[in-house]
Amino acid sequence: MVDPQDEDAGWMLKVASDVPGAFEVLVSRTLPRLLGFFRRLGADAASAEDLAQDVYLKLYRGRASYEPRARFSTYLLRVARNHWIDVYRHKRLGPGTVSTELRRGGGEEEGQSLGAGLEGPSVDPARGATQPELRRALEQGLGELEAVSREVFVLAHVHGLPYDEIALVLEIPVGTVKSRVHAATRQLRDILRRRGIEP
Amino acid sequence: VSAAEADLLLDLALGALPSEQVKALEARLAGDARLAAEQAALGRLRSAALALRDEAPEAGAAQRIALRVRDQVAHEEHRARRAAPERGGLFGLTVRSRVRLLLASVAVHVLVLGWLVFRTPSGSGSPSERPVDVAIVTPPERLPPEASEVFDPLDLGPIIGAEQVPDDVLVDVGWVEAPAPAPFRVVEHPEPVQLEMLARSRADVRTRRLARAGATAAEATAVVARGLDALARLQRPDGSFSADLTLPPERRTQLGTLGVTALATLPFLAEGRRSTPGLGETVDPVVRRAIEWLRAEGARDPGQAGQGPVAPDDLALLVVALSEDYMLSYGRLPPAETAQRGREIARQVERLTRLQQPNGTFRAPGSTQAGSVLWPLLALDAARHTGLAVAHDEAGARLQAWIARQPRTAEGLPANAAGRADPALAAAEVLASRLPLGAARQEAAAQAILGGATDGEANVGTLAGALALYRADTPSFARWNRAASEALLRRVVSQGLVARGDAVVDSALTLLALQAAYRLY
Repeated sequence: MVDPQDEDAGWMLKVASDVPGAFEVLVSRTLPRLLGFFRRLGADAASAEDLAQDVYLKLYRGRASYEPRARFSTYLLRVARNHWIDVYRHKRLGPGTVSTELRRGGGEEEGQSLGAGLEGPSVDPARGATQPELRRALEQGLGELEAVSREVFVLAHVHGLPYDEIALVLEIPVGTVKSRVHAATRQLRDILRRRGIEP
Repeated sequence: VSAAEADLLLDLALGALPSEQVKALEARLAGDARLAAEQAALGRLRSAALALRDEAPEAGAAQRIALRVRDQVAHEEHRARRAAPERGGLFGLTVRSRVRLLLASVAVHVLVLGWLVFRTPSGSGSPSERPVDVAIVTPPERLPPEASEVFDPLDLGPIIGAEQVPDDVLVDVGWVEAPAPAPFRVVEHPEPVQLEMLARSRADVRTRRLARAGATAAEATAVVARGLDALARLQRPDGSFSADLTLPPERRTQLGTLGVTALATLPFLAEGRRSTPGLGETVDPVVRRAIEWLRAEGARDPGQAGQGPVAPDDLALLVVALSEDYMLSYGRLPPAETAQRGREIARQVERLTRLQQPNGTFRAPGSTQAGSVLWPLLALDAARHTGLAVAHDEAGARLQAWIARQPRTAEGLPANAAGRADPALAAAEVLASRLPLGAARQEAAAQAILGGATDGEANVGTLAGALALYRADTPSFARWNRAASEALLRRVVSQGLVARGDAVVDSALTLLALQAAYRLY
């Protein structure tokens, strides 16, 4: 049964029924989230778009058998994460670090290196970092996390998934998810602290 | 705070605590500033992380991805349907066998009905079903090897014995053999009367042109015929063609389905295959379906769901295909239909010219410099040849001015970044020039084009080079033909498609380059 609040699931059901234009709407609605997921896992902009296209190809191929058993975003991230594993881990093409290009927009100068804002403890720990500083530091810090910690951190904090949905995405027990999220959050806080960043 | 306390706060933030534990923790937070500060820090961290969730896609990326995915899956589903015939039912025949049986039965009925209808020469039926009303025929020995004089079809009145050709009369010219008895009036005329667009489609005229140009017609013709058969098998049921999306991204074409379909249709049109009925010729179903799809797709409102912005390359190819089809269909359709098709071409040319950059090129993200100059150039040229009042002159002049501004070699040819003559731009300059460039520069351009066109790769540069050589200078074309056609022929495997690359896009480009002599842009 589709959750009436889950509009994306509704669009996916329309795609499954081959409603004209529904697939375009679904892609438009979910592409930013999917690109963000792959970018935070470490893909560069061009690879993220290719990976997203592959994910939509899988969704569209399997549209007839789609059943909204979970939130659509959870389903989408599960397909995306499995594809990421296929492409980047099994083929050993995995990037070592997250791209250090700043995200476009947000009032920040395009193409500026993240490192430029992170040379030394420029932030006064007593006052805490501003949100843009924290965001830049997080983006950089994610690249230093182990792949396993990075993916749980991204799912829990960047995508805001609860433990049980992360367990669905990663296909591991909820208890394991909890301990990984705890550990990943601690590791990232430590990384930020070493850079002089306190949230 | 301790690690256990931090984990507890994290569980609270993620909504993972039971309600009684939440209440207990909230009571502690109210009285413990240290714990409350940690909760606030965690909140700020999560808030900053949430801001990283979305990544803005490039403009048009969603539409592009959706289109590619739908194309790819439609292609796969079509192939799967063809590969897996369903068994069972009537006499245990496969579905495909049953369909063949049905088609054979329909064909027999059509033949019988056709014989009953056409055995009398009265030629009843609606105007669109009539091949022609009047055919002007010329003895074969008087037919010139090429259509050097273009005859305005509106001036045929004196020949057919009317002050002017009535709007509802369909006239065809240049035919040497008319069926007897013919279901139309035949007017014999001692001198050849030709419309260039009709002469272009005559296989015998083409063969003579090829021979004059020194082309190895026999082998190229056989390869082109096999290639067209193979391409026809790749057409999708709706009439469109799809690029190969399974190729690695760096080898995938930048063209959308619109451009790919138009490009795949061009070799058929270059062969004179028609979307409309002509005297003694049948409609080619591949061309008819493709042109119908292209016209429908071109007429779609760019603002509607699923319709992203059309790239200049795609639009340019659409203009070339529609213009070629218009020229081949001229005189074979009722005037109202011809006028409608003319308006459609004018609209597409107008759309194309709106995409022209201030510098004169049609550069779009992902397009190559050659593609952003040559396809629009060929489109504007094709539109000019239709004789329609379309907005091509100003756009063509701006494009020509851009070519003229490019850095030059010592011989005066457009130079690439390395300072050497750029074959694609040299070809563009020849094609854009209405007047000869002068013998020395023409020869230098021919050398540059030859240098860039003999590696056996077929791309828009190769095609434009072949056309430029053919248009500019016959001996140069003969040299190109000797040097490049063998290499191009080697690219095509026995089934008629290219051995490497995109089966539709690269095969179509290769066939077009081989057919260059047929085409007189």
